[in-house]
Amino acid sequence: MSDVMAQAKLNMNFLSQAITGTQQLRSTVTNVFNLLCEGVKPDEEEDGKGDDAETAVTVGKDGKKFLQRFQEYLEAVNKDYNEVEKMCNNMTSMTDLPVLGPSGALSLDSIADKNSTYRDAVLTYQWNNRLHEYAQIATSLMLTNQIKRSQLQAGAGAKRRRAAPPKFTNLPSQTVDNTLQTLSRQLSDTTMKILQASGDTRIVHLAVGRVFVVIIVLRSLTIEKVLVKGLDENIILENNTVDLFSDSQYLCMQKITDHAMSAVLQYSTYQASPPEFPLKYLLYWLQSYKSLFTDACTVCGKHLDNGLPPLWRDFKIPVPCHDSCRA
Amino acid sequence: MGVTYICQWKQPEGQNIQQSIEQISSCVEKLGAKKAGLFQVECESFNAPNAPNAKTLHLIYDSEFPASRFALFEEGSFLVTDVMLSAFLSKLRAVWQPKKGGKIDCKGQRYELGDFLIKLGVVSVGASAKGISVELEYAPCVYARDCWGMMSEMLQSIIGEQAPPSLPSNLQPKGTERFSPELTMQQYVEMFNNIRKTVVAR
Repeated sequence: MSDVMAQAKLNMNFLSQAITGTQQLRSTVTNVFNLLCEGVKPDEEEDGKGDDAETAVTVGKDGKKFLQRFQEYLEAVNKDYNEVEKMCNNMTSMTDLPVLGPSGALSLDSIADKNSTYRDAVLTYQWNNRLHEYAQIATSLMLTNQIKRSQLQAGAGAKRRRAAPPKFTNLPSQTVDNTLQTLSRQLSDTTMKILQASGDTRIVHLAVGRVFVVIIVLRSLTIEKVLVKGLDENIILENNTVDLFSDSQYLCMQKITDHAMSAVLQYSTYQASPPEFPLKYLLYWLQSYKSLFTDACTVCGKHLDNGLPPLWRDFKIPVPCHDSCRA
Repeated sequence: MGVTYICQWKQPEGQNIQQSIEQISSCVEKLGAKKAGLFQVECESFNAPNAPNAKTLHLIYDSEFPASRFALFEEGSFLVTDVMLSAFLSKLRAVWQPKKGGKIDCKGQRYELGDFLIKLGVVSVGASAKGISVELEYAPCVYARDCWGMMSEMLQSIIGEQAPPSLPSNLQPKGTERFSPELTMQQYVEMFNNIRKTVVAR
């Protein structure tokens, strides 16, 4: 820091000397022009009046006197000029100033004194630099302490997630119907029927054992929405449409709806080759709820936790477990 | 309307009704239940003195079903009607006459815990308190056999040793029938009859 200050001080000295030198140079140059303006004095010959040195050489002996003075002045100019040039070479450029590109020109604008655009720009630039620095440090720290939820490589995981487009939306209607029929035959203790179908969209009603009913909205075979309701709740509105939006009045059914939506997200990311796999997994997972009210939690061995039955089922091995008991 | 279990709380020796109610309420609140208003169940009994084989008729009003009245005959027939039934019965005064001392009611606090509904009530005949009722309802399930494990666990934590060890016979509908308000009203009538008997026996 002190080096920079000393450098700046030195530069200031050179600068003031250079200014003095420049003033000196200006005065000597002015002398030259004054002499030329005056020209040869009246007692000298008329021809010596020219404003050029060559013309003065051709005049008589009085002209020689004029020429001599002129030469003296020019030498003074030359000397001063050399002095200024030396000063300029001594000065070093300020390398530690922020490089702001064309915005540096803002500092030259006199109006900028009123609106502090340049000052703000410099401050912003400094903050930006600092931010960049911190981000780099943070990145290096985080890279040394990675937290991964899966065994996959970070890059591979990101790639895979991006590579899950809605690719099965263009299946023929007959295929979808057949798939749904096949799936409903495979499930035990569960009845499935299609409530409404319009174009690609189907609303499927699924009764799981004696526990609850599920409304599933399918677009082709892609699951759009899952809604779990109690057995004695209305699912058909007065105008004969299916109620897709009102939550169940029971707390446990609301929580199962939330779990079911996360199950949908989980199963949709599976790299399943056949298009019906996410739906199939979801149906099997929902089927595991048929013992919701009868089974106790596999972890704590109790039925109730804060007034709620074991609501959680793992996405891979669907065993009953309380929300608070899951590891 | 989910599965409902109703029982009478047997007071320990030397404890009055107020103390018992406070004890159970604090127990329920410790479980994490929140207060959710009041409830009331009224039962009025009628008999037909002119018809020798006629059974007693119980007319029940429950604040959970404000627009309905339940008529229950002693032998088991059950009827759900609208609020005009009591006015209609007064028109039939020549046949059905109110039983003497047949009016009994149960009032108290409602609690909610998850999907459970817990009601603690004081049963009184006229102005005198005769006993304490504990009602537990689990709303999402409509089959008593399925959710009995959960209900039993909850009852254990509320009334302790007085909880029934296995599914009571009056909670088991025939076959695989769903639970209905009828079974709730039957339990109320049974409990009221028991309380009346014990009062008479004293």
